[in-house]
Amino acid sequence: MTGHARISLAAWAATVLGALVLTPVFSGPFLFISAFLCAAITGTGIALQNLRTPRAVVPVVQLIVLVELISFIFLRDTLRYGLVPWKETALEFNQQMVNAMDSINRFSAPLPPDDHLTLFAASVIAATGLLIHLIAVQLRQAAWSGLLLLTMYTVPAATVHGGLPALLFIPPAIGYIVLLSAEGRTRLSRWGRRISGVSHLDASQPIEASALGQAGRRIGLSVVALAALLPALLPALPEGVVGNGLAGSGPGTGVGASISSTDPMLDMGKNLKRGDNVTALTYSGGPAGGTYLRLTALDQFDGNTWRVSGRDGGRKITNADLTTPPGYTGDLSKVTTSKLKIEVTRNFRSQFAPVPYPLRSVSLKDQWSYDPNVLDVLSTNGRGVAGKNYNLQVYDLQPTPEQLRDAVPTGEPDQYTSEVPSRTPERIRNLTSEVTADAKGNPFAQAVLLQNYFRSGEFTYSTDTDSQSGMRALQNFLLVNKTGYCEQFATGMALMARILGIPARVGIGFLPGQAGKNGEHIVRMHDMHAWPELYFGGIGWVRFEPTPSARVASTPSWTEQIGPAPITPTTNPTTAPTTPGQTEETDDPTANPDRNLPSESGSATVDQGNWFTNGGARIIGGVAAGLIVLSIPWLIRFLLRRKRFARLPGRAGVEGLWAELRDTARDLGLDWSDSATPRQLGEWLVGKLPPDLHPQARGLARGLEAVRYAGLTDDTTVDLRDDVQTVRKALWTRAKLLRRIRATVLPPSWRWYLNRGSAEASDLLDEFDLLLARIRSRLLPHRQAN
Amino acid sequence: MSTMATSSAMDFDELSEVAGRVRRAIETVIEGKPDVVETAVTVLLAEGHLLIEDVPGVGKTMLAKALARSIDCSMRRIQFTPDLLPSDITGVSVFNQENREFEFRPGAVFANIVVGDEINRASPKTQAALLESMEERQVTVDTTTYQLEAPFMVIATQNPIEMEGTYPLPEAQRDRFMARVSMGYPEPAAELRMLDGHSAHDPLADLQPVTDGQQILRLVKTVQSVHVSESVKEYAVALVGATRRSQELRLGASPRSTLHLIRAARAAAALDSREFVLPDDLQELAVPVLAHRVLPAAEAHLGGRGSAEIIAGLVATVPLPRTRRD
Repeated sequence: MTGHARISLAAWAATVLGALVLTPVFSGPFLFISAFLCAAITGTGIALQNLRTPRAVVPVVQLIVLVELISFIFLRDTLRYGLVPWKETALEFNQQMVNAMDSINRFSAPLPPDDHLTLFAASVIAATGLLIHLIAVQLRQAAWSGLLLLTMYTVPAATVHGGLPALLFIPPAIGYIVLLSAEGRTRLSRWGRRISGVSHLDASQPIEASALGQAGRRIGLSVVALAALLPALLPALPEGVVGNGLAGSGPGTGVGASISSTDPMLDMGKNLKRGDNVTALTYSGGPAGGTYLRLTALDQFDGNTWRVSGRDGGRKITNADLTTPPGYTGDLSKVTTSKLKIEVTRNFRSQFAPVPYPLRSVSLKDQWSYDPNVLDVLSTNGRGVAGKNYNLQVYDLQPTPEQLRDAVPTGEPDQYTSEVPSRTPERIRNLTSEVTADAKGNPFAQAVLLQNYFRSGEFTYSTDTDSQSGMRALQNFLLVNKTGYCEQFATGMALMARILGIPARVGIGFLPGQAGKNGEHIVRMHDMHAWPELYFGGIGWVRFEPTPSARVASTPSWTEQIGPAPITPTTNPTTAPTTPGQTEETDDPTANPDRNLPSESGSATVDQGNWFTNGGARIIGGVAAGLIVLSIPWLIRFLLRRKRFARLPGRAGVEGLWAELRDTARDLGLDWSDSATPRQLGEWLVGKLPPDLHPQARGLARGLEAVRYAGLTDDTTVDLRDDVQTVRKALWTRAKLLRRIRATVLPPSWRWYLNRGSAEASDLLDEFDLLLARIRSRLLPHRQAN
Repeated sequence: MSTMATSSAMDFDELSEVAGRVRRAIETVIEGKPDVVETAVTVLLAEGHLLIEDVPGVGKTMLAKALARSIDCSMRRIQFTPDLLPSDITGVSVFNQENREFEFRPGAVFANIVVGDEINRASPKTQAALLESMEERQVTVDTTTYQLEAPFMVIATQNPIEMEGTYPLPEAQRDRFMARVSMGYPEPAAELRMLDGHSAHDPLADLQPVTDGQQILRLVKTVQSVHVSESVKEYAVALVGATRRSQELRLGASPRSTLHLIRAARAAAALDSREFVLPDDLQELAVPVLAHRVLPAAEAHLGGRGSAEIIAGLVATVPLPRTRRD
C-alpha cells in the first residue's frame, strides 16, 4: 500500500473514531452515514492521487462529491433531474441546518433522531473528515488534525450534563495515534526501501521498518495515558465545590444531583430566542387573567451565575398538603385556594414542573419531589415534565401594599438569599441607594422604587443581548447600556434588593400566557420569564415585576397605587393576620436567627467568611493536591520497596530484593543492563562498591542464581534482606546529592516502568500492524513482486 | 539439593577430574588455546559434533587428533578429497568368493571418534553420507541398518569457504554440528614454544589416553543430570528467537540449535562443577553454537559484520527473561 493510501485510511479511521464521541449527543444513524460520507471522501482522495491529479484539485472534487452525496441522501426532493443540487437544495439545506441549530438550543442531549439533526451531525462530521483528510493527507501535517478531533470531543464534553463516560476518550485517542503512526511510517519509508533479499520475510516483518511510527506511537501513547490517568489520580474535586460554592451537590439520590445538571436560566434564554414559538403547556382554572407558573427559584449568586442551591434531597409528595409557604405566618385555613389543571406538551422538557406559587398540593407523586423552601416540584428520575398532565391546588395569597409596608424583618429565610458577592462594584451599591433614597428605609417602599426604576423609560427591553447575568453583565446592564431582557431585569433587581438587605431570589417560569376558549390558557415557549422574589417578614416571598411594559403589561397588584410615604398600618384578616411589632415569630424552619443582623453588616460578614473559607480551602486544597501529585512517584517506589522487603525469604523474596536493587541502581542513574546475567551484575556491583562490600555483592548474585536457576526444592533458607539493605545503602551514600534528590522525587525506575507499559501497549499496536501487513500481502500478492 | 546432590557430587568430582586430564592432555599438543580446548571438551561431553574452521596450518587437525588420542577408544580419520565416495565413509557390501555371500565392510565412520579432515573438499554427496550418520548415529547400507557405537563424535575441520577447491557445507548440514570453533593464530610466545616442542619430535606421539569410552559415557550421563531452570530455557528461546528477528540476519537459528545450546550449556555447567545451568553458560556458548548456523543479511555482510559479531551483539542486547514476581 502506498503511504498516501495508508494515511488516507488512517485519517478516515481517526474521523470515525472521533465521531464516536458524538454518540451521547446525537442519536439515529448519523454515525453510519457520516462513516460512509467520510469513506467516499477518502476513496475519492485515493483515486485522484492514483490518477496523479494536481494536489489543489483534490479537495475541490472531494467537496463536490460530499455535497452531491449529502444532497442525494437527505435532500433528494430538491434535486434537479434527480441528481443535480440546485438553489432549492441550498435553501432547504440552510433551513434544515437552522432547524437543527434550533433543536440543539432547545433540547438537552441526547437529541431526538430527527432527520434534520442527522443531516446536521453527518454534515459536520463529514466536513471535519474532509478537513482532517486535507490536513493529514494533502498537507502532510497529521499532528494538527488532532485539533479537529479535539474540537469534536469538546462538543459532547461541553453539552452533555454530568460529563462524558471516561471510556469515550479512548476511541479518538486511538484514532489519533493510528493517524500519527501511519504518517510516521510513511515519512520513514520515503527514505528508501529495505534492500534485504528474502522477499517472503518482508510481509511478516514490517515492524522494524516502522521505527519512526513506533516512536511516534510511543510518545502518543504516553501522552494519552498521562492525560487519561492524571486526572484520575488527582483527589477528586466534586463539581459542587467548584461550581456550587458552599453547596456540595454530592451523589445524593434524586433532587440534589439532578438540579446541578440543569441550568434553568440558560434554558430560558434559549427558549426566548427560539425561532418558532411552540406551545409549552396549557392550563385551565386559577384566577381570571391567568397566573404566573414558576419552575424554580435561583437563590444562589456567586458573582458569576445565579443557580439553584444544592439540596439534600426533596420531600416526598403525598396526598396531604405540602409544607406551608415559607415565611408566611398567617392562618392558611382562611386563605382561599384555586384549582388548576395543567397539560404540558412534549415540546417542553424540564426537570421542574411548572406550578403557580405558593403551591398547596399537586397530583404528581411518584418520581417527583418538592423543596419546602422554594415550593418547586422536581422530577427525581430525570424523565422530566414533557407530556405530563397534573392537577394542583394553589393558595391565592394576595398581600396588600399596607401589609408589605408594615412587614418587619424576621431574619433571613435561608443562607443564600441575602448574600451579596464581595466583588459587587461600589457603583451598583451607590446606584441602589440613589434610586431608593425616597423610601426612607422601608424595605417595601424600596422594592417598589426599584421596580419602578426598572420599568421607567430608562431601560430598554431586548432579547438581542448576550444571555448573561454574571456580575460583569449586570454591571454593564445596570450602569452602561441599560438594555436587556427579563433575565437581566430580574437578576438586577434581585441583586439591588440584596444590597438593600432584602432577601431576594430569581423565579423562573412562564408568564400567564394567552387566554383561549373555555377558560383555558395557552403558554408558549416565548412566554418564559424570570422575575425577582423578595422576602418580607410574616408574608414570605413576594413576586415583583421589573421587566418593562414592552414585555409585561402589568405589575403585581400589591405594587400599585402606593406612594413613597409610609401609611398607617392596618390589618387584613384574610391575608396578613400579623401585626406590626410582632417580631418574635420564627416559624419558618429555614430562618436562621443567628443571622438576624442589620443587612449591611450582615452581608459583609458573610462575604468575608466566604472569602476566607472558600479561597483558603481552595488554595490549601490546590497545594495539597499538587503535593500529592508530586509525591506519587516517590509513594509508588516507597510502597514497592516496603512490599519487597516484607516478603519472606525464598524465591519470590529474593527476586523482589534483586528487583529492588535494580530499581535503586536505576534511580541513582546507574546503568543496570537488562541483558546482563546475575553473575555479571554482581561483578558490576563490585565495581561500584567499596572493597568491604565485595563479598556481599557477589553473595547476592550467587543467592539469586541459587533460587532462580538451581531448581532448589527448599529455597526458604536464602535470605538476602540484610545484604541488599547494606548494598542499597552503600550505593545510595556513594551517589551524588543531586542524583539522590532525583531518585527520591522522580525515581527514574518509575519512569522506566511507565516506558515499559507504553512499550507493551505499542507492541500490541505492532501486532495490529502485522495483522494488517498479512492481510495486505494476502490481498495484493501481485504488488509484492514489485 | 539434599540426597540427590550428595550422590551426584561424586559424579561431578569425577567429571571435572577427567575433563581436567583431557584438557591437559590436549594442551600438551595445542598451546595457548584454552578456550578452544574447553569448547571441544564441552561438545564431547554434550554428545555433539565439532566443526573446526580456519585457514590451513593453524592446528585444526592437530586438535582433532589430540582430542581423539586422549580418549582410549576407536578413532578413524578420513581425509576428504574431491574423489572420496560415500561408500568410503559408510562402508560397502562386498561379495565374498569363498562363502559366496555379500559381506559388509564397515567404512571409516564406524569408530567412536571420527576425524573428518577438510570436510568441505569432498563432493556434497560424500559430505551428505557422513552428515546423515552424524544425526541418526546409524548407517544404512543395502537396506541393512548398522548402529554406531557410543560414544560417537565427529570432529570435522574445514577451510574457510572462500578458499580454493572447496564445496561449502549447506546450511542444513552445518546445522548438525553442535559448535564451530576457530583456532586463530597462536600468540607469539605460544608459537615460540611450539617451535621448541614440535621441531624435535611429534607431541602427538607422546600423547597417552587419559580416559576411555566407557568413562566418557558415564560423564555424559552426569551431564544430562544438570538442572536447567525454566528461566534459562526461556532465555535460550529468547536468544535463538532474536536471531530469527534480527535485521542483520537473513536466516536465523533453527529449533535444533536451541536444543544444542541447552545441551552444550549443561556440559559447560558440569565442567564448572555446577549442578545447574546459568545464563552465563548460554552467553559463552552462543557464538560457538549459533554463529555457524545463521546467514548474515547482505547489508551486514557488506558492512563487514560476520555472524559471530552479530550473535555477540544479540547476546548483549537480548534481555534476560523477567521472572513473574519482582
